[in-house]
Amino acid sequence: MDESAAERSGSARLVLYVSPDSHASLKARTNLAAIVERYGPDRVRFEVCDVSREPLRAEQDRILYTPTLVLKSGPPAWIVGDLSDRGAVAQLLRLVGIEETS
Amino acid sequence: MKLTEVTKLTTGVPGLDRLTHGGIPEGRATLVTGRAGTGKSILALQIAAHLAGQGMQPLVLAVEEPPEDLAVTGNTLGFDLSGLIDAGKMRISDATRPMSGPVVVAGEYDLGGLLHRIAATVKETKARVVILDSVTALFSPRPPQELLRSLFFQLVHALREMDVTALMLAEAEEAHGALTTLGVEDYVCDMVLVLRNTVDGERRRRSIEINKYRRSAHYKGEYPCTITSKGLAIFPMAVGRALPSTQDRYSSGAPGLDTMLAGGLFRDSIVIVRGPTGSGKTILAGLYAHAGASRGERVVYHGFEEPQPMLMRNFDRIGLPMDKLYEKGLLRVICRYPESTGLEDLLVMLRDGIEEFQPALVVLDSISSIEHATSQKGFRQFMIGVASMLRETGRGALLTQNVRVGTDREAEPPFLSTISDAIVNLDYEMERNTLRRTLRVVKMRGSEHDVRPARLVITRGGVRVEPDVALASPAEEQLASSLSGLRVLVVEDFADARESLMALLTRAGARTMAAGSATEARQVLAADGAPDIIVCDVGLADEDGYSLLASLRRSGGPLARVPAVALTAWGRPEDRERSTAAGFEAHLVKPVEPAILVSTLLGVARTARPPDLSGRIVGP
Repeated sequence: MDESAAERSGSARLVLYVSPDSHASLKARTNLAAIVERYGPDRVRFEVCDVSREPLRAEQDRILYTPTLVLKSGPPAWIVGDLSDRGAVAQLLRLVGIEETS
Repeated sequence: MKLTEVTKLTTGVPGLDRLTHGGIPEGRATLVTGRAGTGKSILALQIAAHLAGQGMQPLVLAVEEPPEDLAVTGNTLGFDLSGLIDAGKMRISDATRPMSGPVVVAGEYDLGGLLHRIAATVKETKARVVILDSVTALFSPRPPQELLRSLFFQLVHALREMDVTALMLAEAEEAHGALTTLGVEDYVCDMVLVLRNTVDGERRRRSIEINKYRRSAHYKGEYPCTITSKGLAIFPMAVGRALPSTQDRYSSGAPGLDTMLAGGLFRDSIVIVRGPTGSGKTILAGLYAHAGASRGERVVYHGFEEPQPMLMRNFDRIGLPMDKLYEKGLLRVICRYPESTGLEDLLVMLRDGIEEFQPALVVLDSISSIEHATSQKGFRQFMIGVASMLRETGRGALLTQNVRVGTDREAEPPFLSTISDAIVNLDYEMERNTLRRTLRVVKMRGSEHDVRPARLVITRGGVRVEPDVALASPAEEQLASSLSGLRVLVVEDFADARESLMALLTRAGARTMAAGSATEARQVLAADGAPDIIVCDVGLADEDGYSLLASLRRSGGPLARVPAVALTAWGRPEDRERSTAAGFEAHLVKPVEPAILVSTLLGVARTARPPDLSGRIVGP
C-alpha cells in the first residue's frame, strides 16, 4: 500500500456528516470529540458537516446515513453510526498509521 | 390534498393505467416488488421517462447500480433518459455506496444524509416524483428489524412531507412468497405492485399483480405482461361483460348461420367456433374473414396451425380465394407456430398488429395450438390477455378451438365461456359412409338464437347451414308436447349446458327446475318437492351425480322413487354400471340428441326404473 503524505506526517483528516435534530448525530459529535481529545488535535483533525446545510457535499461523498464519519486522508473508509463503539474509530485511524498514545 | 380522494399520476405503461384505474397515487408511496430479473427497474425507468415528459421532474435515486448503468438500460429501451437528463427534465442521483473501502456500522444511525440530499434536489429541480431503486439495497447490510422498520417509516414519512410521489423498488425472494425480503415496506405504502417472472414448463411467463391499492378500485389477480423493445406492456381489462357494447350486427360469412343468429354477429363480439378436426372450423373462419374483407373492413387472420402458403392454398381449393383481398390490403394473414414464439411475444405481436393495421376483425385459428404450447394457467392468462386486448380496442374476433368428436362440454375451461359472446359448436358423424357435419349455436349473448342443431354442408366457395331435417324436424314435431305436464329437475353445473337443456325440455312441454350443484339440487328438492324426473350431470363441482342420486335413493322418502337419468361424458361399460348402481334409470352420453333425450325421459317417466333403458346409449 502506498503511503500518503498525511500518513507520513502522522495526522488524519475526518469529516463527520450529521443531520440536525438527530439523536444519533448528536451522540456521534460528542463521542468523536472525546475520541479525538485522546489522540490530540495535531494528529486527528475533524470537521462536522451538517447535511441539511451542505447537501451537495453529502452528495459528493455519497452519504446516505447520518451520522457517517469519512476518512478524508489516506485510503477511503467510512463509519456509519453514533460512534459509541470507539474501537471502530481506533481501527479507522490505524489505517493511516495513527495509534492511541496512552 | 383531500384524504378521501386519491389523485393519480399516469404511468404511461401500456395497460397499467387501466389496471390501476388511472395510475399510481399522487403524493403517496408505491412499492414495486419482485425477484431479481422481474423488470422492476425497467418499469420504474419507463414511468420516470413518462413523468419526465409530463413535467414532473422525476428524481431517480440509483442505490443498486450507478446512474450511468440505469441510463443505459433506459436508453436501450427507447426511453431516452440521457436526452431527458440533458434537457433538465429528470435526474438520476448517485446513491450507490462507495465501492472501495470498508463501511463499518458502529451504533445508531438514521437516513438523514439521503433525505437531506433528496430534499435539496427536490427543491432545486422542483421534482414531483422520487424513485428509489432499490430500498433493499438502501438497507443493506440489513439493520435489526426494529431499526429497519423505523428507518423505513422515516423515509416514507419524509417523502410525504416533501409532498412528492414516491416509487420504491424492493426485492422479493420468491415469486409467490413474502412480498419483500425486508418484510416492512408494504405496510406504509399505499400501493403495492408485484412483478413476477416464472418459468412455466419451458416458457417464461411474466405477470403483474396489484397486491394492494389503498382507497382505490383496481383490477385484482395476475395479469400477463411482457418486456418488449419499448419496455413493459401489460394486458389487463375486465374479461366478462353483460352485453356486447353495440347492437350493430354483421354477417358471419355463412348465410344460414346468420339466420340462426337472428341476423348475424354483434359488431365487436368474440365468437368461439369449437369442433373436432375436419368439422369445418377453418372454413367458417375463412368465410368470416372473407366476408369482413369483402365488406371493405380490415381483417387479420392469425393461423397457428399451418404455414401461410398452405392455408391460402386450402382456401383457394374450397373456392374461397383470398388473394384479391390480400392484395387490396384488406386482409392480412400471419402464420406462426406458438411453440416457436413465446406467448408474451405472441400477445405483443397481436397488439402491435391491431395498433398498426387497425383491423375490424381478428381471427385466431386455433387457440388450441396455444393451449398445447403452454400450461393451463399460461393458456388462461393468454386468453384473458387476448380478450382484454380485443375488448379494449373494440374488435370483433373469431377464435377456433379444437375439441374431440362428440366432445364433453365440461372439458371446456369456464373462462372461455366468460370471454366469448357467442359459441358455435361443430361436429360430425358418419352416416352410411358419409360424413355429416353438424352445427349448433350454443350461446349468443344478448340475442335470440336458434338452438336447434343444423347441418353444415360444405359447398364450393362456402358453406350451407340448413335446418337438419333428418335430425331436428321429426324430433321437433314429437317434441312439441311430448313431455307436457312433466316436472323435470335439471342438475348441471355448466350454465350454458344447463340452459340449452332447459330450453329443449321447455320446448317439449316440460316444466323445468334447475340446480347448478348437488347442494343446490337438495335445496331445490327440499323447497319444491319431488319432480317427475331428475336429469343429472355426473361431474358436478361439489359432489358427483352418482353420490347425489345414491343418497336420494337411500332417503326412503318420495325422492327415492323419482326416475333419474344420468348425463355424462363417459360411455364405458363401467360407467354405465356405476350409474345403475347409484340408482339411475338411464345413462346418456353427451352430447345427446334431443330426440333421444326426450324419448329416454318419456321411457323412464312411464316405467318405474326399467333396467333395459340403460342400453339406449348414444355417443361413442
